[in-house]
Amino acid sequence: MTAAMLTPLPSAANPDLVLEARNVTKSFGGLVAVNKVDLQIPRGSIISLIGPNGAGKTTFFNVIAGILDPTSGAVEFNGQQMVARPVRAWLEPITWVVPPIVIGLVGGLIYQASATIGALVILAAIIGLITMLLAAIIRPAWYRNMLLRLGVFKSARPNEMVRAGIGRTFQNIRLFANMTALENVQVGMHLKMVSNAADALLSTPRARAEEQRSVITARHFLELVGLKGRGGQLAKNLPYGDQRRLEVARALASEPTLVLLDEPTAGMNPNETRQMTELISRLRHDLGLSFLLIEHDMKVVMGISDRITVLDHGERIAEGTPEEVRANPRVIEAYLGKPPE
Amino acid sequence: MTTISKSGAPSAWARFRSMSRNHRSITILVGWALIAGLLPQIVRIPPMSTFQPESLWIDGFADAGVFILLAMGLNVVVGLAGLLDLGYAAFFAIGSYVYAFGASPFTGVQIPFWPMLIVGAVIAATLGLLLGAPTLRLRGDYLAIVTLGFGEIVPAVFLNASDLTKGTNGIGGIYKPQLFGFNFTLENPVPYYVTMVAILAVTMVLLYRLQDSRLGRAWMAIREDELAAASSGINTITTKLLAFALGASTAGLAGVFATSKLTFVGPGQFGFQVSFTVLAMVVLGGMGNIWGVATGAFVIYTIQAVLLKELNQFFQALHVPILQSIDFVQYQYLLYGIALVGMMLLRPEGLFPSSRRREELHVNSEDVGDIPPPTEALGQ
Repeated sequence: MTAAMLTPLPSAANPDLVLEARNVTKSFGGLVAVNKVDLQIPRGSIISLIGPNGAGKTTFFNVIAGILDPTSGAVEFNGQQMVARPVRAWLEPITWVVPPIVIGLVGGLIYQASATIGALVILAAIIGLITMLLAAIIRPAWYRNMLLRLGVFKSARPNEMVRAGIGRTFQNIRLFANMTALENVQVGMHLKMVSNAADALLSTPRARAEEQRSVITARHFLELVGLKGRGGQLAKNLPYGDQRRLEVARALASEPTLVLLDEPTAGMNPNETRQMTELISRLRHDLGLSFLLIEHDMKVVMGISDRITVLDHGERIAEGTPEEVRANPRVIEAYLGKPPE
Repeated sequence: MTTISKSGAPSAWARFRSMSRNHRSITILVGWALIAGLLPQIVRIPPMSTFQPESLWIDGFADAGVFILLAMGLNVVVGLAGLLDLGYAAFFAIGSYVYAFGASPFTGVQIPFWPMLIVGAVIAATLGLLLGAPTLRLRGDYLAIVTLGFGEIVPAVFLNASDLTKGTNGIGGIYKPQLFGFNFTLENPVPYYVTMVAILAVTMVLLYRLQDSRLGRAWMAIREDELAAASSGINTITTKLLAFALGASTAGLAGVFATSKLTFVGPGQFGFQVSFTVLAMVVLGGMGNIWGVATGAFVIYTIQAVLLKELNQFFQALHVPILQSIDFVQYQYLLYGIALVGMMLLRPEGLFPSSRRREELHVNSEDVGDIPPPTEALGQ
């Protein structure tokens, strides 16, 4: 890992790319789930990721979304390196634990000589630790930079990827089941709201106004995906297709530039599938969003994708327009097996 | 519930409901004022007045308030954020000792009670942050075990740092509160009672505001699905730490008040049974519903402090064969256990569940639709 990789530099690459994944590899022990996969997502395009079950699609997705750290390779989002193999991550807990323990022990030794000074030293250690903790919480950017100076690189966490502009849905629906549909979308708007705990405690006008605005905006997002008037229902009481749509609404609520959809039409009937496809095309047109889809329904994939990347056994076996991919013998082989000689 | 009368105009109840929803803080304050006024009247009426004299009742209510406060604080951690905390008494202990250090002849310092309420809450919250930090990666059972450990460590520190805390003997003679030259005394529990009600009312207003804010939603999102919450942009680390800190600060408040009333603090008061009792109150009252939790705490405290004693006397007076020889106070925890088991079987959402949780546990699986089980190994 070179020093240049530690600092997030604007890439020299094409500024028209929203996301660029280079050489992403992820292995779990001996199993290489994703092997040196490259992916480019141009601004405003719909890119699909297909492949047989177990091809590593979701793992690759989770690397991009900041949930899994890659074994090697990097992901750049809007020219910023967000995800890469962590460097010296073990150093971080040590910097938290060792100094207070050392000061505490020294304080304990001094305490036996002079109780007052010893107690003061221990107190100073505790206060220092608390100050550091608060600083790390309140100023995450500052904390990150400090870690970088120590030579510690950590990949962006999922919430930081959302802040950068990536929204996502999950393969198995992961809604907040016991919250209403409206609240689900409001949670999605978390980063677009600014009121903090103090605002809430004092019920400041700012917080109240923001809360009301958030309800209206959330209704707008529900309407956008076709869930108008269902905001008051608990998420888990919605029909399956509506739950999928609610997940999309929640992902959109963070106002992303890139949306990752993991099997958005899984388990849907043909009618619902058509609605979802229309929704994706409409969002791309109206809001200029880019999409990365994982999808098994070939009609959907061939219908809306600009380009398709095919994975098999963790490796990229094909990339191109739907027509190219459809005609590619390696793709047919991956799906149907080798034809008898 | 909401009934519409024939003319189409909303009924008085419906109007009351909508008013209480729109002016919730005022409703809570008025509610507490009514409770504070009514309780002393109720205990003058025969069945209650035969149990114990009025002043003892009011003294008991002030003590019950401590547990209501603890239960409301633990509700933030367990009910809202879904972090099972089995060592909550640690923060109660910290608040108590903070007041003991700040206002006792032992340290020679005498800081007035009112600022100490804030100081106790802030110090408990800070230690909540410190103790919360190592537990952030843990979930469910593992988190419960670690908090259980912290719950044992804190009283053990107070027990063994005998130079600073007088160890087992505890710190006595702690100063009582004063207000504009008026001294709180042991003989007259009314000032403590009024103070406690005021603290409870204000705390409840603040907790309701938090629950319905952006932060409250983030807590619930973490309770429901931590990974999805993170993927919605919630910083799970700071949000969980805030839940710990706010829960701890409420316990700190309770500790300061309890110590100023008891004028004594010792490490024996903060054992596991305190954490357990408060958790039982939260579960029995109805996790996630602030009024429900408060009522649960009040009912349980009153039963253990008054009713069990009364049962003894009642059966002895009637000479009931076996029951008269049983000391019900000794069987407190057995009764808790039976109540918890019965509750989980018959009404798992608690006595007064939040409207959400009620639906959660009593919904037909047919209504939920066909949701595939989470099979993904997404673990970090």
